[in-house]
Amino acid sequence: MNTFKLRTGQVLFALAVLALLLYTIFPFYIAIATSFGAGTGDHVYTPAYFDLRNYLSVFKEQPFFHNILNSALVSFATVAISLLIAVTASYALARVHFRGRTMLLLTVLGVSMFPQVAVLSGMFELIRMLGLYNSLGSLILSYTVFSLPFSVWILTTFMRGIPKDLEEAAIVDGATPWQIITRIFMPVLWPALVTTGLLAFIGAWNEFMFAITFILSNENRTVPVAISMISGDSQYELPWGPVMAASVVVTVPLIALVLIFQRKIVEGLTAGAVKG
Amino acid sequence: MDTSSIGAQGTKTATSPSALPRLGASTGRAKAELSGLSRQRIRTAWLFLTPMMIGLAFVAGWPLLRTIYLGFTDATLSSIDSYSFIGLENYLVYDNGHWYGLLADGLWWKSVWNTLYITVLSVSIETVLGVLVALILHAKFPGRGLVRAAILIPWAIPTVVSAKMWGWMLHDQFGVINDLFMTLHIISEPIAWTVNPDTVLGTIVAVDVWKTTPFMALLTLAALQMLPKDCYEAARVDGIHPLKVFFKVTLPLIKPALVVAVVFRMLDALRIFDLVYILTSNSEDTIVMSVYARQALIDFQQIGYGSAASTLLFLMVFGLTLAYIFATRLKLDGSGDH
Amino acid sequence: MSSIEFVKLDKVYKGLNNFHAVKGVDLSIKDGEFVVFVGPSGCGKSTLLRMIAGLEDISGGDMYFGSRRVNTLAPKERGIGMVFQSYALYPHMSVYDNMAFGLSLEKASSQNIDEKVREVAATLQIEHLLERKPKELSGGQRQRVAIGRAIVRQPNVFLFDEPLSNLDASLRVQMRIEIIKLHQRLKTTSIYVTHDQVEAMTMADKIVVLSQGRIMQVGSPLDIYNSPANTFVAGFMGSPNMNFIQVTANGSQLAAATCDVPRSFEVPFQHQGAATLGIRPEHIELTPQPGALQLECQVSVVEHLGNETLLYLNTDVSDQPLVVAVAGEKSMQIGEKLSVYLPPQCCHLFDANGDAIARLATTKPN
Repeated sequence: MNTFKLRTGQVLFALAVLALLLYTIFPFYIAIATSFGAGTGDHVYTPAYFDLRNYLSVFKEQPFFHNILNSALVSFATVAISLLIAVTASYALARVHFRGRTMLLLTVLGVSMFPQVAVLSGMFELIRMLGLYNSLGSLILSYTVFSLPFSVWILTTFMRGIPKDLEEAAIVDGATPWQIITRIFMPVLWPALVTTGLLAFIGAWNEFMFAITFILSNENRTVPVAISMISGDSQYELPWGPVMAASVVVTVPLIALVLIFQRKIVEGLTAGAVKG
Repeated sequence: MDTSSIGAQGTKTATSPSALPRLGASTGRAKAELSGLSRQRIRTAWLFLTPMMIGLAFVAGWPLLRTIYLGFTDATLSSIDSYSFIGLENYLVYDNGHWYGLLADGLWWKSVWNTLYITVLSVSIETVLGVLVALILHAKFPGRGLVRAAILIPWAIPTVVSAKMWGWMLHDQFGVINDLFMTLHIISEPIAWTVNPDTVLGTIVAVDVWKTTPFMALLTLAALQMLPKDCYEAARVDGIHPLKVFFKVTLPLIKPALVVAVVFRMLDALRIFDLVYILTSNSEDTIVMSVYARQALIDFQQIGYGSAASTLLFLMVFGLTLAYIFATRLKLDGSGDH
Repeated sequence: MSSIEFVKLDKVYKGLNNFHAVKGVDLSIKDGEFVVFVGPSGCGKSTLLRMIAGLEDISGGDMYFGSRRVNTLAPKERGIGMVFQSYALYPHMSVYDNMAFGLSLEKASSQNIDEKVREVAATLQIEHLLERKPKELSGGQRQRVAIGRAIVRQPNVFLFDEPLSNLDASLRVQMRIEIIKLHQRLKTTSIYVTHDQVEAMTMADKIVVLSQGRIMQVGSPLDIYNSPANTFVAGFMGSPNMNFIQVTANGSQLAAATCDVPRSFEVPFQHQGAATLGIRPEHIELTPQPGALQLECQVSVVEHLGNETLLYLNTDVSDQPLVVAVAGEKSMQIGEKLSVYLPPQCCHLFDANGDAIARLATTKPN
């Protein structure tokens, strides 16, 4: 009786896990299948052919390779610049007592809540003023500032976790704050830096509104915009095969990151929210 | 017996307790000098904060102020450098027996309603789902790490991609959703999910839930993993029903974390743009505040009017953030590091 | 090398209740002395040490190293080396790099660094560990590295913040001896914070007993043991704790306060009124002594420690059991009645404020 109860429980649990997996992965499976011809004719759920025609067409008919490079460039630059600024700022916020610290942290938190559209017109002006309109610089600038608040927020949480003794040992050894950051904290905190960098990378890689507003020419677009712009012969019917092929191409690196750094990403999300 | 030294030397008795009260006055002494360390650290702290503050001020603060200001002008995209101040006209103006402006525009109110509808529905559903998923992932089973990574995928992929994927799956003729539902006899004929006014908002909520439940689940899971094990063991020893344990022990304990996650998601949902823009572009049935504002700004080139709409959205988000900060009295002063 | 002088040193943590951690401390430490700050947790001993290190601002008063006022100097300008309770080794650096870090910041030549690090490593017998990371070391080895890191820059003052509290008992004794030997060799002024009175007694040239931010007594270990300045020091130093009996003094005659039938007892003190009589467990005798106070007791608990036996005795002179330490093994039955003897020359007397009353010179023993 008891074992029966246990077994049905286990079966139900396994079913729940399976349903969960199906729910999260099925759309992505359909995307892959479609990129190989599913959804045409009799093939509803399964691929119709096993060649790369849709993938080739994406790269042939659009500057998609260029778009990927743009996205990579913008994302890496965003990560590098925002980490550099965030590391020093979060050191100050986490480890030094000064007046106005709480106010500053609140401001940072506030900025991370800004709706993008709220700064769109002002940002548009600024970017035209700086001569960055229709250039990747406009995206690097806006993404850096939008990823800065949560990078600072997360790194501040991590920096608070470093034992006070460790910093004081370095102070007694004669290290300046800059030396403490570069020679002690950054090596100790590299997992946190990876986490923060990943979140900033994903944010920049996926961003859409600034990208579609500040970039005009096909060659300078990032991948989310490029995918949104793929169109077919008629206005009403999209070439779903190529669209899905492009989606798969864009998503694969992210899935790889997620699979490799799953634990770190979760840590970062948690540090940003739960411990805040 | 070792008593040779008793009383031999006068001990160096320092201040004895009875003689001390007079020293209490020293608190009021002249301002303490900061040591070289403190001075150097505070100076460096501000130096280290400068790049961030400059960045935030020029690329977030300034544009925000400009947006708010432009909301009081008649600027357009073509004449962005020459405009005039028109007061509240973008918001509300009475002219020739008619009210004009944002607050008199039915479409604006529709966008507000849609935004709130999506936010409330989506966040409630994903909270419940997220807790369920977190409970599943909290149990130990083979392949848990892989499942956890799998549920991160919807969160990690670009919203544009998930919108396209679902747009295709929800396609009225070739989409698998219609096929699936008809095979399962849930519906009798294909539905144009993203076009039909009756289904389109629900569709957006469904896709949003799919994409954001992982975030909720992972935050909840993290909270679950921080719970003390002993109170569960105590509950088990006492033979309390698991459901009762969940509602009486687990839920109250993870509530603070859950509240944070809900607020983060609400702020996010209020800004919803990508999904709606891609899935149902230009449809008035699904217009949300971000889409409305951007449409006015870029598509209709009415910088002033669009800025006014943006300002209202900002105020809503800002109000919610402030309410949250004051309600929870966020502990920002990093306890424990001094 | 350096002497250290505190003048009315104050530390107030600004905050909601302005915690006054150190209150008007005056102290002078001689060059080359090994000074131990001891006291219960929260007594201000660590704060005082951190003020010497320059890690805490000084809220009031002055601090001098030699004749130099150091109040506003940064830690690295003070010429100190510090060993932390948690060791605080840099986890990502090898032992060698941990020790070399401070020197490399001073821009010493790599040959110079190498010489010094290897020399110190040899002294501490950690040469074979130089390439390892801290996490690959045992607690005792980490402790040595932490000490090595402090020594290598040849500071004028060594600061130790409860350095042995994370070690197990036997290792603690061993490291204690090594630190003493090291001090004998280097003769660097050392300040050592601990809550462990055994460490204080065994290591110190001079003990500073602190309580609630104030100095209770300064003196050599035997001074502190033999002539505690007040009931706090008397009760804190010595294990097991000193017995206290509430008494009323009339000249040199004492009568127990709780006892119905006043029993008089002559002691080498002069006092009038309420007082506290103190006597250490190891000074109470089981055999009659000339002039000693005889107390009738009943055994309530017996603790066998092997080298000595502790008897907890109920008496009619105090609510607290009287603790008696007897050398060696002593078999006793619970409830057994016996007499104990308090020799007057081993007694301490404290006035109503808890301050020690001076012993009369005429009764100086022997």
